[in-house]
Amino acid sequence: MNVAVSPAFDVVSVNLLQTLLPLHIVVSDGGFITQAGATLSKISGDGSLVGELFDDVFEVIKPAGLQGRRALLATVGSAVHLRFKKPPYTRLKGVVAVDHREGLTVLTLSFGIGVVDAVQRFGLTSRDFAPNDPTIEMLYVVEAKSAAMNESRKLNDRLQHAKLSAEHDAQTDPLTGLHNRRALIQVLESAISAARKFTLIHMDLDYFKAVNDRLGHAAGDAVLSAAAGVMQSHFRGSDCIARTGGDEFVAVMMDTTDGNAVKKLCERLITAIEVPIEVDSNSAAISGSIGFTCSAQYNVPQIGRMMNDADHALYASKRGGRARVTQFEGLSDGATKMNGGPS
Amino acid sequence: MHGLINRSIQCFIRDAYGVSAWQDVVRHADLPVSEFEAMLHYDDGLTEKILMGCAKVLTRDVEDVLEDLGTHLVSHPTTEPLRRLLRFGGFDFVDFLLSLDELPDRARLAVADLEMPMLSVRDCGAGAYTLQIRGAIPGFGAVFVGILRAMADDYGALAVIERRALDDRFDALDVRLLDAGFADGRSFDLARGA
Repeated sequence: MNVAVSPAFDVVSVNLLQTLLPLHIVVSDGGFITQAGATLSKISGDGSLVGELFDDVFEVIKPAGLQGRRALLATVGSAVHLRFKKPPYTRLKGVVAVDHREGLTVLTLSFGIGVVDAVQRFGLTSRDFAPNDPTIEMLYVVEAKSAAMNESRKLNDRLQHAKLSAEHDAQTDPLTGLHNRRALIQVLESAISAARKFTLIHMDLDYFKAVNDRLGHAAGDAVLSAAAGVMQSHFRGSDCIARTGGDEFVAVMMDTTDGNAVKKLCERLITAIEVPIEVDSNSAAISGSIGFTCSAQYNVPQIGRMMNDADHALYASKRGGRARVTQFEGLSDGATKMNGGPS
Repeated sequence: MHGLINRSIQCFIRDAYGVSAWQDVVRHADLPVSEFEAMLHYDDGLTEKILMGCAKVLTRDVEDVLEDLGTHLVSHPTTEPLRRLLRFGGFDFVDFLLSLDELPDRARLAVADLEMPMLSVRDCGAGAYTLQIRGAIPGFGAVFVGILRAMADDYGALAVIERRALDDRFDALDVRLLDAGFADGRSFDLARGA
């Protein structure tokens, strides 16, 4: 088939190249393609490339500035990059050798880094590559590594999920879903280290023990959960609400320093908590006593001291007859005065 | 032991016999975990405990379980990635058989720390082949019987495979190829998802 184009063609070489290099072309002195490897013919779209002008089929990308056979001659022994002039404009990379005796230019080509796309686009099989060509092994490694990577990613996802869930559990009171003491301390520490103002509110349920004794622990748990729900509906999403003991709750209101506003909010909270809760067709009526203190009341706010002071204010509310709210007020001489508690 | 092996057994029991069968295995074998991770390592003794548990729950010999595991590794949709990797080994079943001595190196390219038995394959002529398996892990021979049977199906070849256990860690598999083009086999494109 090549005879018409290049009568002087060496038949032994033809067979050698066809066997060894499925991605080669031979270009005649006149710039015609006189021979093409089977795989190259397969990807060229419309059958054999033989008989076409090299310049009609390929664009030389590198080295830049030269085209056609002159470009090929200039790159003998070094890398040449080609692109098909027709869609899908497949890129090839190769090396050029020249047989001056016959006036032939021989190129052997490869898909280079584009091989994965090329294999998919042209439906290539292992038979389209020479057995010594490591392309098939490379495709194997690409696929094996992405399978291994996929497994690793799934493992990482599961570990990440387990970590988040463990962190959540470590900071959550399982009965009410509120924060626990550990989470509360973290919130206070970060607020203090960021010098944010906040109000610390300590609430103790009143008459809870009576409910527990009369209706049992299950009913007591239901009442605690209901009280937690009432608290959540009275504070903002950005506030931290924690259950710190049996019937003790602490709320931290960020960026809030207005004692009167806090007092009003806490009074509404107590009113809401006093609404009797239905538990197994029994009615449980509780109330709450509250003490609070604001970080702005301290030159250097400290968690332990503020918790203690809020606690003092809470007990002032208890002593004052329960169901009331007291703000702690520290005095410079160390004595304490309660605002809203007994005078 | 590489987690891939324990994980494969777990997935096989789960896919072939259901989640509750796997839970039975975990209970019977008194396994320390109920889920194995493919990318972690476990105590060597654990794999044998798992297999004994499987044999007990399924009331079958360990070797039968291993053979079915080998078939599952190639033929089940959840193990399609492995089937594909195996198909890279050869264009047809004979090509694949003759490439099996490369398999440990191929496996290491994919998972560097996976321990594989030594495989050597011999062409005995007239469609007969012998695969010798020497491994640190007993039972690999039985798994390979399942793998080769399923791969013959995959390529559409008709082959008879018999196992001679030479000793605890040394198996010989005799493969007789009756018809290389017996059926169409399953398709394989070099490109994934092509």
